[in-house]
Amino acid sequence: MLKVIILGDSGVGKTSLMQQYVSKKFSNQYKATIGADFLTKQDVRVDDRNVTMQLWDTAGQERFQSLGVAFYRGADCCVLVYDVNNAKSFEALDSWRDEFLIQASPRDPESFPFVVLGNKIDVEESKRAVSQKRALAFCQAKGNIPYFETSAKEAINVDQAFEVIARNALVQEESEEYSSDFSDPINIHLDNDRGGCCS
Amino acid sequence: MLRAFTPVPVVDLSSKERIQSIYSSDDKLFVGLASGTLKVYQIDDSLSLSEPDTSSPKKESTGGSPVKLITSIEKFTKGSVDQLSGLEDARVLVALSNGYVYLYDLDTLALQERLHRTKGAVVFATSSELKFHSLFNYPPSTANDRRPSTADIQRSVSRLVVAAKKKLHCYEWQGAELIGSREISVSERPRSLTFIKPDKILCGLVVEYFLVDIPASTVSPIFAAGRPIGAIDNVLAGVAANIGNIASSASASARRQGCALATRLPEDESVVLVNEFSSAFLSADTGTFLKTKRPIKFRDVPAMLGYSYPFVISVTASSKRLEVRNPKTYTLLQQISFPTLQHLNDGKLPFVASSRQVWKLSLRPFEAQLDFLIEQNQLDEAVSLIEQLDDVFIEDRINKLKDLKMRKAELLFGKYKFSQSMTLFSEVSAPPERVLALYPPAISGMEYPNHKDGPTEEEPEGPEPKGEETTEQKKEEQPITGPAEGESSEKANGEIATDTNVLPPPVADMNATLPQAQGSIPIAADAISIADSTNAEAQRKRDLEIFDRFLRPTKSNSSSSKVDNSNAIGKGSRGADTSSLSDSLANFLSFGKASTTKTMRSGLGDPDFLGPESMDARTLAKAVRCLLIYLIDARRKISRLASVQSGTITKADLDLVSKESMTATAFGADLEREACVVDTALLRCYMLINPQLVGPLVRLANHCDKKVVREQLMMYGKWSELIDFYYAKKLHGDALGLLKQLSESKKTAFSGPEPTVQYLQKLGNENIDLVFEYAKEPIKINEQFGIDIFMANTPEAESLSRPRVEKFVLSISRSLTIKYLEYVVFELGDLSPEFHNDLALAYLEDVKSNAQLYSLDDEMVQQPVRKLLKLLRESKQYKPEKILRAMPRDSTLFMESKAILFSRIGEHRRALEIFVFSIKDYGKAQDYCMSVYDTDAPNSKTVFYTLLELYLRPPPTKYIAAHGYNKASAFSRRGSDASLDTGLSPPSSAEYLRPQQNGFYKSPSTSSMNDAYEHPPMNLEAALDLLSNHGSRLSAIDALELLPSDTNMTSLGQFFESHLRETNTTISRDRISAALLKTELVRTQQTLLKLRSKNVSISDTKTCPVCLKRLGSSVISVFPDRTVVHYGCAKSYKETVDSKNQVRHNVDE
Repeated sequence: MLKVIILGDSGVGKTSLMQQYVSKKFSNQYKATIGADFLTKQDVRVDDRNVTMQLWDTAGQERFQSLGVAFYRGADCCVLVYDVNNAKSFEALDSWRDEFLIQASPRDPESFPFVVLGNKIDVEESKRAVSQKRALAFCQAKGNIPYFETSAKEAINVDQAFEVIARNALVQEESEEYSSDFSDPINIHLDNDRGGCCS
Repeated sequence: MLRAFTPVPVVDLSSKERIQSIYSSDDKLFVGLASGTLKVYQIDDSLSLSEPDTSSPKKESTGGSPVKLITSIEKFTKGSVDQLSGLEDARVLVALSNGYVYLYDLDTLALQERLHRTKGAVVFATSSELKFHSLFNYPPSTANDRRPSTADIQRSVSRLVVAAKKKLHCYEWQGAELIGSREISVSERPRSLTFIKPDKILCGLVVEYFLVDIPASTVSPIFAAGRPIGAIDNVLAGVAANIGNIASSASASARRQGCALATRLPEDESVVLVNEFSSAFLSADTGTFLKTKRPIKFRDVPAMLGYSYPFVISVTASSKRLEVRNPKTYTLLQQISFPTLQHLNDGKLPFVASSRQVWKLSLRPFEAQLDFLIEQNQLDEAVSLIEQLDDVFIEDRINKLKDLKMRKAELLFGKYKFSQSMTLFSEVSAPPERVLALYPPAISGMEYPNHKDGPTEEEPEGPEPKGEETTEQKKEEQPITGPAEGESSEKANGEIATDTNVLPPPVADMNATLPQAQGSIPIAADAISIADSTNAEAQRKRDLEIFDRFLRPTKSNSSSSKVDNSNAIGKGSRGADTSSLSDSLANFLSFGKASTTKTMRSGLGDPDFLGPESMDARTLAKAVRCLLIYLIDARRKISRLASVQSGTITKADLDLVSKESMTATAFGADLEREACVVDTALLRCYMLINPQLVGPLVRLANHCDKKVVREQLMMYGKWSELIDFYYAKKLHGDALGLLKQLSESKKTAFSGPEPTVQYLQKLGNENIDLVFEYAKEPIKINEQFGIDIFMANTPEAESLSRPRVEKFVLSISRSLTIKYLEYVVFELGDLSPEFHNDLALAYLEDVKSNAQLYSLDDEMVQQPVRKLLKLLRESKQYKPEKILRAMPRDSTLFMESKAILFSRIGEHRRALEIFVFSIKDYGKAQDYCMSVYDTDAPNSKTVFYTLLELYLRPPPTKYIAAHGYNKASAFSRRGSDASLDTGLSPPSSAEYLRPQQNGFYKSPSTSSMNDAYEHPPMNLEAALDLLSNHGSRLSAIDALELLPSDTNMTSLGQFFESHLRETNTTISRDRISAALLKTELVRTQQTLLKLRSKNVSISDTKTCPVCLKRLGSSVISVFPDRTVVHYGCAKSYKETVDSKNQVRHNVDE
């Protein structure tokens, strides 16, 4: 089970991207996500393996952001979404990334896989506010984050993007297993029952 | 063991009598005897719940019997009273005797009825519940958790089900009225009946169970042939099968009861079925097995089972022991030994009875029970109990529960179950101080932990003392072994002790930014000297330093600069050498723990402790890692609560996304302070276990304590993070101060002015003073930085106040000023005249000063000249007068510029003078005329004439020279000085103009031909050229007047020709237009005629169609269809016509 978190400002199309990828549907209506929601995509083929992806859609609006369970924990990949026609949503990516790192506190933040999606490229070119060049420069600066320009409405690049997301998530999951195997050995020198811990 | 119930003996009968059944209702206890006698006792309520039963039961028994015999009815029934029960709402007492069910009045005990059809009854069951019928339909979402309101009709439904032979006889009372009965057949004789819902009864047969739905009269098996129905997992199936197989039960008591046992747990609407040692749970709603609930394991086979809020009570098959269990955890809470028990009356007032004795099970107050459990350290039980209880039973239940959970979390922590512990802490939103108290000060930041045992002492006493001790011991025993390379620890210790004062600390040259630093005294040493009074502080400082040293693989004895330090940190934390990190972590933490103990010192010398230490370091790292669970959760919650307080989001929003109800008091009164504690602790954790996350933390909105952040990040040279922190906190002054210091050092990533410049680029106008303050130095190094700061294409750079920036750059350099103004004027398109003026003037100055250094043809001079020209031509914003005033009068460099300026102020003559006399470019002069020529503007209509005049009647030489038009008077220093005060209309100009007005030029021959008024020769050639090209644009008469009389006619040929052509063209054009106008006239006349031909005749008889009166001689209106109406009627006629048209239009459509 690969756990993928989708983050970004409100109205950039997180839910739509997820819907498009999982159920090949698109709705023009905007409905704010409340708290968090997830969809599961089964039998995702990554190279020679079949994996199940759990996609966590999150509320972009501050007032609806979840407060309860720390669903960021145990994530294998984080997808940062912005709207190419909205410069502010692009500028917020950095904060979203930082917020994710704090919430998830991955062991190795530098190698944790992020994927950036510039959504809504179906909108006419004249309204575009963030150039591909600028987005690529950002991704480059943050450690070569894969970047895709997508349209959930017209299903452009969505499958391709999620393929990379799945692959990177799988790598992360495997490395996490590896590291947790070795960095937190069971301490045989202690008589007390030190139970399972966060790992 | 807990004493949830205290048995109070209430009835003690003589040995002859035998109790066959008991039943309690309200304040009465009914005891049925084998002889058919019924005894009724009054229960003294004051003894049941209210009186705290803290003392031993003995005292209770001596204090008088809690029950009083009211009446004893012999021969109440013919045979023994086998079963007693009541229907309180119907006020009916039900008794089973001799195979019949009898109904009595509950109050008078008079026999009401014998239910004849119940012949052969073996067992019956009663149920009495309130039914709620809601009058309104509520949306399904709220219906679930909504409580019945008074608006709903309440109706009590009591049911009596009697099992007789192979039938179930069901009776139903509504209110006090028996309204119906029905019979339901079953396949065998039922042995037991248990209501699991008011309308559902679980019916135990010899070998199986049926669920009977009374209103629907349906009977559905729960087991089929000993197997449970439906797919359930194997373990449960086995258990269930065992229960289902009643026939195989070897239990004597169960056989006596005739079946297995079942009781309903109202709390989660489930039913527990027990057979021998096995048990299983059914859902009361669906009758299916609950897979999620694991079975209760009984040590002794229970013979009787019941539920008394909030416990499950059972009597063992040996009948000697009553067991009290928590229905959630199944923990056996209490065992009470009795002589053989035969009867159990559960419910609100539980009683047990042997054959001749009855005991009341008196419930102890829950508070006392809880205190007992807590005292016994059975926190799980206490939590479970408090969770099950209703608010009314426990004062301040929510907070008590929270406190209990926190105690439990602390216990778990002591057992090294960090993850569980922290999860629990987050669950109850524990105050951060309490959680952090579990950690060493290096994490918690708690001040001066002076007590010997460190923070563990603050854990609750009692719980698992052994575990606590071991933890502590381990931690204390951890030796401090010196640096990772394996130097002898003793030596290391010595070094540490001395080094603290000798070694310049890594942040030596940062001292200026620290308030407590004085001069060049190293911080740490300074801190230590300060801390001499407060020993703990010194210890802490030293701990930090030691940790720091552990983190450095190579030890630098001499003045280790912060640069080295930061590099080393980078390697240490990022590199693969994580084990050394955890080693140091262990040391670090243990130092923090054992801060003031001397045992630490003695342990230092022992190298034997090297081994387990690294292992333990991992555990500690783990503990810190788990702390993150809590801190992150707390951080999020606090931030949300803060948003509610500040009004960014509403409480409703918060409730929408969180299940638990959050209040600001969940953490502490002062959210701001709690946030600070949490964020600061988070920072410390990251510093220790995952320094890469410090960056994200400080960049986000956070409440980290500024002092701690600075201290921590400086210590490890995390400059970039520190600067990010300052930026996020808007502490720009601090950031820039730090950057300035860093820029002076070498080898860091921050040396040189670039980082400062990058930081300044992020600042907008609100910090403009800081920008100016810190921009000076980088710009001094390279002017390009100025461009980067002030001319970057960013909202911040553009927000800077332009006049202030201009003033600032002006104080630095002219070239930067020019660049800035060019940026403002050309790139930003600023239209304020000031910038345009200033730019022009700056160019001017540039030309002037460069002209003194370079030759006039040099690019250094020519370039600004060209730029000036470009600006003057393109911009419309500058004030030409102002520029002109600043222009040197006699410099050839500005001639063209001046021409543009004159042109701008409409002084075409002077502009032309420049072209003619100074530049001597007649082509340009003509072009100029062409560009400004405009027949409509009085000022520019005559430009060609003016030019001609200049050619043919040049002004006196002196005048020309005075204006610097003469090329011979090249730019000179003296000249420039002199020219500075050249005004717009110099006196010489006035002199010049005066003679002109007097017709001076018209008769040049009359003027005195002295030197001063000597005129240069006329330029006939240029004049003729002008005339031939643009002759038509000036008056021929005026032109001819100007021409000298001896001009050759042939040379004027072209002028005449063009003039004639022009005139002819005008004539032809006028003719054409005249002809066209004539045509127009004819057409107009024709139209007039046509209109006039439209006439109507009005006779005496002609009437108005609207008012039907004669038109007579009144004013009329004629419509296009020649309808004539009165003028006054026209409006209404028009309306009728319009509406008709409208109708027709609609019909057409």
